[in-house]
Amino acid sequence: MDIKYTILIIALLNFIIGFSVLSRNRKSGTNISFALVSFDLGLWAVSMFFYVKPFVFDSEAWIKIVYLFVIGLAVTWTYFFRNFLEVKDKIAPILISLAALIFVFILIGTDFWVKGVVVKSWGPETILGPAYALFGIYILFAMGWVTYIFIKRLSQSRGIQRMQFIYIFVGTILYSILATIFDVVIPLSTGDSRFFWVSTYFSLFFVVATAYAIIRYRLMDIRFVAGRTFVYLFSIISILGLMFFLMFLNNKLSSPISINIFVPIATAIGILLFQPIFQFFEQVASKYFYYTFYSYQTVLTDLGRRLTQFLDLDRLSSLIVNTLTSTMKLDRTVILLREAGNGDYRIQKNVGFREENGISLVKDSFLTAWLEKSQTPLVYEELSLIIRDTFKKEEKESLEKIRENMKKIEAALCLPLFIENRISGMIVLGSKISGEPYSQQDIALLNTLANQSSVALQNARLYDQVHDLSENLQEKVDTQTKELKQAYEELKVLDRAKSEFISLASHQLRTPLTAIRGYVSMILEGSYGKLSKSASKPLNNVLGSAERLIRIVNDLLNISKIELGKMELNKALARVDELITTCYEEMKPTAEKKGLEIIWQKPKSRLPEIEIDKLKIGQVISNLIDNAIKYTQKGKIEIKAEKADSVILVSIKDTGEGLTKDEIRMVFEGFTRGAAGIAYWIEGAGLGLYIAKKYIDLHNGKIWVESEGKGKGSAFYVELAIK
Amino acid sequence: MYKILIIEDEKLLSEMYEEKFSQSGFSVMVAHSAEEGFESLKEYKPDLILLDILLPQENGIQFLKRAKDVSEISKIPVIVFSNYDDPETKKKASDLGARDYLIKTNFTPSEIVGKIKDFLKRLDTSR
Repeated sequence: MDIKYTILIIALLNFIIGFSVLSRNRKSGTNISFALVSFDLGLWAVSMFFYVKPFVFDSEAWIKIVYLFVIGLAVTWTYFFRNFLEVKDKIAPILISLAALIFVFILIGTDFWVKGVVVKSWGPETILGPAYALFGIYILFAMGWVTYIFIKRLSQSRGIQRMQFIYIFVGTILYSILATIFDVVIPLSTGDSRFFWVSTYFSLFFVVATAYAIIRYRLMDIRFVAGRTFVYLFSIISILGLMFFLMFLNNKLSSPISINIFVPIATAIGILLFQPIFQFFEQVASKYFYYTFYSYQTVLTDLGRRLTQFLDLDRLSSLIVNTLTSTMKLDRTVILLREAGNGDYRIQKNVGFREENGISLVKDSFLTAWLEKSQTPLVYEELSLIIRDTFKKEEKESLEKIRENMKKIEAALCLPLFIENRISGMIVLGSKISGEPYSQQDIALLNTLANQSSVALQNARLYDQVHDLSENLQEKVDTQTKELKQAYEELKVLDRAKSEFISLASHQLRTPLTAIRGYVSMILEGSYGKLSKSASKPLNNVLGSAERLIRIVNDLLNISKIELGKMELNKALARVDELITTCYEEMKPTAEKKGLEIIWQKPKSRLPEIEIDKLKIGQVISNLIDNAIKYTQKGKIEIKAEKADSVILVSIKDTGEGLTKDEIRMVFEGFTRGAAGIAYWIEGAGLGLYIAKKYIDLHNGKIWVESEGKGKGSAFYVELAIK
Repeated sequence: MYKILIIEDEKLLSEMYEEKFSQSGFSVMVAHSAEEGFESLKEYKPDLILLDILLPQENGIQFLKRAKDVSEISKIPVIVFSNYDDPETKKKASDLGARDYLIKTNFTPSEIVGKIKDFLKRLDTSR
């Protein structure tokens, strides 16, 4: 087997690397131009192979194709470095491209470059023309430009970028120099081009250097590229193997199917089987080598959708941690959240870290401040470079401490969670189980995940706060209700005390009042000798006043009894019209003495007997009649009683003073409204109406007043149920 | 002539009622406490006892309880007259055999005399 077949392997490697890098990100200029370089290198290698082992065309045609790709390499490389180094310079690439076109014309249209190919015993040998030297100068110019922009950018870069630049540049230069020696210097100086093909191998320098830069400093995810390469390689080998096996079988069975039919069938089978075989190898790679073939878009969309599904902080944290550990295949992850008030961190969700370790990174505020300033995740592997580029002594020491701590607790990455540029928390990630470092792609994904997560976590925390607030409010309402209840109970006790005081005081008042009333009445009756006329009038006034005072005391006592709940009804069957008649008879003289007409309009048929406390209802009615007489100066008082449906309705109408709306509202109120209220009632209507209402309430009846206004008379109504 | 025993601790009131009842032709004995009342009842046999409730030491209700156990005394009708206007006390008094419960302040002495006269007359006629 000829060693030259290995050129094909180099070609295949270049193709796969180019394709993988492109499939990783089809929009990135760096990836596209890198892929173009790789494809160019691959095609170059292929045409080089056919140059030494001619196929379809002769070696002269193939060598021209080889040079086409060499020209192409100069162009693609220029664009790759322009993208990779982020250089704005457009003139040099355009010049290089234009010159390339001229060289293509010279190469194909003239024999200034390739004069011919002579096949010797060791293989083909190309006879080169003068244009080749020109091309050498052109290549030197292109390399010079690349070196120039490279050195320019190198001085501006630091950290990992700097290291990436150096590796790729070294790889490129090594390759370029060696290729130039074998392809340009040796052929031009010796006229011997038999080692042309050797330069293909030097493309490995570029590939290896780039790969190293990628592995060490995560340029374009070589791990992914390598994984893909593995999967594609094995898939293709499997399919081809299967096809050859089928072909072998076909031959063994002395070709039952003709080759013309067999090849398309085998191809169709191969195409059909490619997808499942590819997936199989992807799973194998994922399972045994922890290759993370996650789709950036799928992970993001999936998490984004699920993050909005619930508002529970614990479930959200679990979801985020699970997504991270399963996507990245991590050994440990912890979510630390900052308290709203003092900014202290607490562990929200932890997998794999020891509790005290998880939180140890944020023990002092340095890391928080540092991340807030840098606004990027902190990767352990980059820390030594960061430290090297840090000049402040204190910062350097703190970073050093963090590096030691990260190493100790086996944390590989600190992912800050930002809310309005302030750190609201942090996700600390461990290493990948595969031992693979975090790629650029990973970091980009983590950044996006962190943004999504911090918003979702913030929402959940706000929700929690609102929830807590409402619970707190409920608690507060409960406590206050309890306090109010207690206060109410205390007030009730006070109220009882007040009523008991009134009751006691009233009893004490009654004894002297009894004596006054008794003695005065006896004097007036002549028990102590005959009384002069002039003395009897003032004594009558004394008696009247004493009686009035007694009534007030009685009212107060009744009220205190009502309020203490001591008022009891002595119910018996009675007829309301009979009660009214008694009251009417009693009051009639007083009314007539005042010159008032008093009418008792008895019901046409006798009213039914109802269960009432005769004494109390009688008291209510006489109180109402008494008031009517008191507040009417002229006109009449009309008393009515009638049966209406299931009630007995008593009305006492007068043509007296009437009531204002306010008075209507408060006429049945007790002295609960304070001193003014007491004054109003004692000087005015007395407490009779309040007691009347209480008595009627005890009977489950109704009492109310209607009046058109001041001076328009009033009508009091009492309604009692018949049952 | 009716004989009554007035048990009333308030001197001002007992004198007043004694005066009125005497003027109205009653034979009157006054006691200023329940104990004193029991003492006088050993010899004095009234037709009726007028009993106050709020008395020093033993109150009217306790008097009624004790009186119930003495057969001779238990026969004598008792009318309570008091300014202590409490439903529970009223009920107790009635349960212990008091014939009526008058609120002193609501009546003049002559009204009380009138009520007692009416009561005794009714009692006589029913005998």
